[in-house]
Amino acid sequence: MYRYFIRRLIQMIPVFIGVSLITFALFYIAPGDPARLIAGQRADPEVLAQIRKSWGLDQPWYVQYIKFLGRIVRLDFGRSFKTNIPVLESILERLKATAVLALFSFIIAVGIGVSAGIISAVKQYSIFDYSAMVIALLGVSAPVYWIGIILLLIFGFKLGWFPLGGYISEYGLKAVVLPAIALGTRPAAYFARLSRSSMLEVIRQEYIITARAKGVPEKLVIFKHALRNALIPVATYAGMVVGDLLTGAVLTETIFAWPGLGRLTVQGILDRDLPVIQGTVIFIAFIYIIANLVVDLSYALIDPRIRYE
Amino acid sequence: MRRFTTILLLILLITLLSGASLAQTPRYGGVLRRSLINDPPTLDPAMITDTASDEVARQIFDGLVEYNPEGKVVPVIAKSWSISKDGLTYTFYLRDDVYFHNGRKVTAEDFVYSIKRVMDPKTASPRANFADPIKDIKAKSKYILEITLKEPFAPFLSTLTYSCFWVVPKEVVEKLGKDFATNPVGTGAYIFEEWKHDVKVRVKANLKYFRGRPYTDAIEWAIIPDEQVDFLNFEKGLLDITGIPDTEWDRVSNDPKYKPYIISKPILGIYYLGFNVQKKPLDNKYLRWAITRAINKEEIVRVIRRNRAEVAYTILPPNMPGFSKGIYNWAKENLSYNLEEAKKLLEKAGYPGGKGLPELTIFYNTSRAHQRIMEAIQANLAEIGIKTKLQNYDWAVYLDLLDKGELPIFRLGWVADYIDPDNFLWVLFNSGNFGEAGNHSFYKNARVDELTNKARKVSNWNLRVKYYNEAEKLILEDAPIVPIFYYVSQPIHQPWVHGLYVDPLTGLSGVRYRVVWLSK
Amino acid sequence: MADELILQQSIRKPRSLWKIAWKRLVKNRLALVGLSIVLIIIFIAIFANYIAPYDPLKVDLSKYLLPPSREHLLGTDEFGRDILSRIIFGARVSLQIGFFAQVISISLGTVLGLLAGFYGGWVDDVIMRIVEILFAFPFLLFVIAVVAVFGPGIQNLYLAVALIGWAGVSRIVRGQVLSLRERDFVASARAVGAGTLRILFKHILPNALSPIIIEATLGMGGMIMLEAGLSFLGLGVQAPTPSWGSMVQAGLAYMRSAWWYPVFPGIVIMIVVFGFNLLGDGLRDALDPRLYI
Repeated sequence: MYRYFIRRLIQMIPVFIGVSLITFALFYIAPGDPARLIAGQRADPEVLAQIRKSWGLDQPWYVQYIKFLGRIVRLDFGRSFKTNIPVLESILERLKATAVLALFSFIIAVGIGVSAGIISAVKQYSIFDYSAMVIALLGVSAPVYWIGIILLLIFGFKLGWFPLGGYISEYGLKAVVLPAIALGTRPAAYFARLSRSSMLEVIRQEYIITARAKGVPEKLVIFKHALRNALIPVATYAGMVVGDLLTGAVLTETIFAWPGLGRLTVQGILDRDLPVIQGTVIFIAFIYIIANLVVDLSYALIDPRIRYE
Repeated sequence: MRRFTTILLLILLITLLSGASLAQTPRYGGVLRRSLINDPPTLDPAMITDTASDEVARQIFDGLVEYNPEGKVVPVIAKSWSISKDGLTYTFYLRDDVYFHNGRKVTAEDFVYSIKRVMDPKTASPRANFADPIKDIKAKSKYILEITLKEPFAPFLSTLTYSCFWVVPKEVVEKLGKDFATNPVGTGAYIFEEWKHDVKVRVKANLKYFRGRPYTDAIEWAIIPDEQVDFLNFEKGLLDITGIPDTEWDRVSNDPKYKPYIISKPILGIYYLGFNVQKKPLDNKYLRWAITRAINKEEIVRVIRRNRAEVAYTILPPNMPGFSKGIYNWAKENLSYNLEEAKKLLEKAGYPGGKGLPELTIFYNTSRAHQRIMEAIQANLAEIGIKTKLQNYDWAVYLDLLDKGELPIFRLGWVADYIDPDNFLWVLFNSGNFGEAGNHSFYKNARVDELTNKARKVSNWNLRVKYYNEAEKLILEDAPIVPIFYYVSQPIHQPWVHGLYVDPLTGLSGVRYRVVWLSK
Repeated sequence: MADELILQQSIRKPRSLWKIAWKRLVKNRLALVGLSIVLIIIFIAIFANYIAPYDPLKVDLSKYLLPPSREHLLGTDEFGRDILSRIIFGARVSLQIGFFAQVISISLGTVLGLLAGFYGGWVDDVIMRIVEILFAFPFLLFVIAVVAVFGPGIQNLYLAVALIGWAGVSRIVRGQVLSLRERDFVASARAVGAGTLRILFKHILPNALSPIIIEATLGMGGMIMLEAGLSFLGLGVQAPTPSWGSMVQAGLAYMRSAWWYPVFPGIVIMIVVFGFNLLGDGLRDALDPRLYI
């Protein structure tokens, strides 16, 4: 187990190098000059040269890249071109907000999704099953910003139950409800469908049939025997969802004025702010890899038959 | 009985109303709540180039001079000044009662430091070129500052109102280094208090401010990236002052609840369609004219902008000193929408009915508001047989392509940095400013160059106006741009907000909120 | 690895299931609903010229934001264009984006997945390392970056999808190949001297097809949503071309004064994506009841 963990950590290194190299390359092929953006619509050529020089943008790209790698090894992400704020500081500040939103969305998604899925499976072809699955399918079919604006108009503006966007530091935990619903709808729907089919699969297997035949009470069959096995694919998906929730929330963050990582990244992209882009991309890759690792390790907890050599 | 009640109600109403007008004595206290569409990139005056940063930093810092709401240069930290006859030496006499927020007194040396800092290549200030005319700057005594110029530059005093010339405390800047941008210390009416990135910025009243403490106790800017959500916040009473999205204008401006609280004021800015006059086929003057006369800007302003701007015919906005009514009328007559004339001009250009003309591309930077206007222009051009397609890029790519002269037809806006025709006619049309320096049309006319260069150096205002009028007419005749509309700033405020004005240059982002008070 | 675990549990019967699958599909009522939605929308897209009552690009500013009426069933937009006609022509754009984006990512992913699975060794190593790197990029942010940088428009959207979208497909295909490679029918093909290509495309690919079809159908909905998301950021198709996403985005700004503008295109997106998802689910049940997601 320990050695497996170490091996996985070492495997991360090429991924990091690949991710940063692709980002760097994209930035260099791309038209657009960060110095020019800082200066605005009208700029003095000498001033531009000066700004480029002060950030080392006048050096060849490979020199810049090697310097960048050298800094990253020391965990120095540099400062933003645009704001001069240390990138790591910016990321950690946004990470808090992102994590809170992801956590609540995840709770909504798993709580509603998995329980609906399991009930649907146990009561296959019932009205509950049909309506839950149709709702789930509709849930994955609506653009998130459309849902977001409608939620804001109804529950924020008309009914006044929740703030009209904004962060928990200003409005308390109430602020997280609407964005978490907007963001959690899609994964909830996926969880419902996934746990239903996974559960159906397990229920049909021989050991469940045997257990039932032996007269084990239905509740015990479902919760003790079936559920545990049905959860394996759910856990796999959960790992992916955590990754998505932590990184793919830019639209939700924009509508709900949520100070998360997605907005930081997109602003970085629009500003051609390489240190910010590199920092967030590497950080996101790190989150993704860790999430996957946790999922893999959690198999061992759910299913004792799985061992890591 | 009923009549009695009505009378009673009327009396009550009149009392209330007169009470309201009596309550016009300014009141201290309260927190003013504003919003910004994005987190300000920096609060270091040497680094500011955008409106969000400018709005916040303007409350924290002061300069030698500033514009008053009428657009006149008025004293701030400089009590008075004198300009030598040759226009080369500016002497400023400073107030002796100005303190930085850290308690230290401001002297002439602080201005020497602040302005030299902007000029220093190591600072890499994006506005270092604003200090280009300066040859030397020194403190003659504790409160006398002398600036000498390389050559006469008429708009110099105006440029001193710009944010890069605000005074900063040396000891704080040197101690904090790059972190000064997030922990600003100035002399202004408000003291920087708190900044949660992408959430809010907060400043608190400077009770010892040399021009008297501001009315409100604090200002808080919420960062709200979505324009529509921003306006919902205003309607819920969560913001005191904000802008109105074009798409909400009809509803809001017709609502008696909101109507009295909308301020409408033209600012010094113009929205235009530009041509690269060196690029085929737009090097053809008649084609540019044909396009000019095919664009129905009256309809664009009326329908697309919901009358929230003023139809433009000239380059200088009407509030700009040097604006000429004569040129305006001439252009309105000869360069406005006229389908028949446009068709004739297109034929004269060698493309009767658009025949032989390749499909043109109109470029714009990504924004829904620009897109709407470009779609309307596209439909206008189709009327005379000019086929176009639209292409947008994000601002970074857009600037890059503009600088390189790769965009044959493009949209741009220009809002004055300082109140002087030089800021429009020299910057945008002098051939020394090709590309990034401002002339994105790559327009070159020897006479215009001569006039705009001369007008910078002359101090006689009437003579300057003469030069500028001649230059502007020449430019309009060459049609390197089509003026579409002059910007109008139209913020809305809550009933309890008083004393709000709109900055003549930039609108809401140029306001000093120290004069605004809340009756709630 | 997570995906291998699933795949090991889903070893399929090697015989062709097409006929049985079709029978299963037509018995599934929800799947039939999905199929009909998809067929109807394809029909509308093909015959848009004949169905649409107005020219979707015809600007008439005197008809600014008219509410639904007999003349304009779903109202008009801020340029006086007929919203129904724009939705009908938008079907073309949105379906085209979904279709080509899927074709690109699926064909790339299939080829690379086949190669990785069949050859193993360093080929597998290289391809799978690249897949891992691509997976570490958040899909939406990557597409935003590519489209922002190279300019919005359908081509660059395809470019972005081609660069990153194949990774998921190649993993699925590779897993399929791994489980098929050692099967009897492949071994016998090899024994009679069939070439590598022939084995790959004639014997292995057809047997790996069903997860690809399911992925493609479900992915169509995903692509339509992606276009909608990009439109929200102003990075969708070029104006004035109508796409559902750009209509919703443009309309949302008028939500309070002209509800019909954002609501109708939004509902259309929901119904169509719903249709593709129903069909995808149905296909999964029909083709391979033991596959997850």
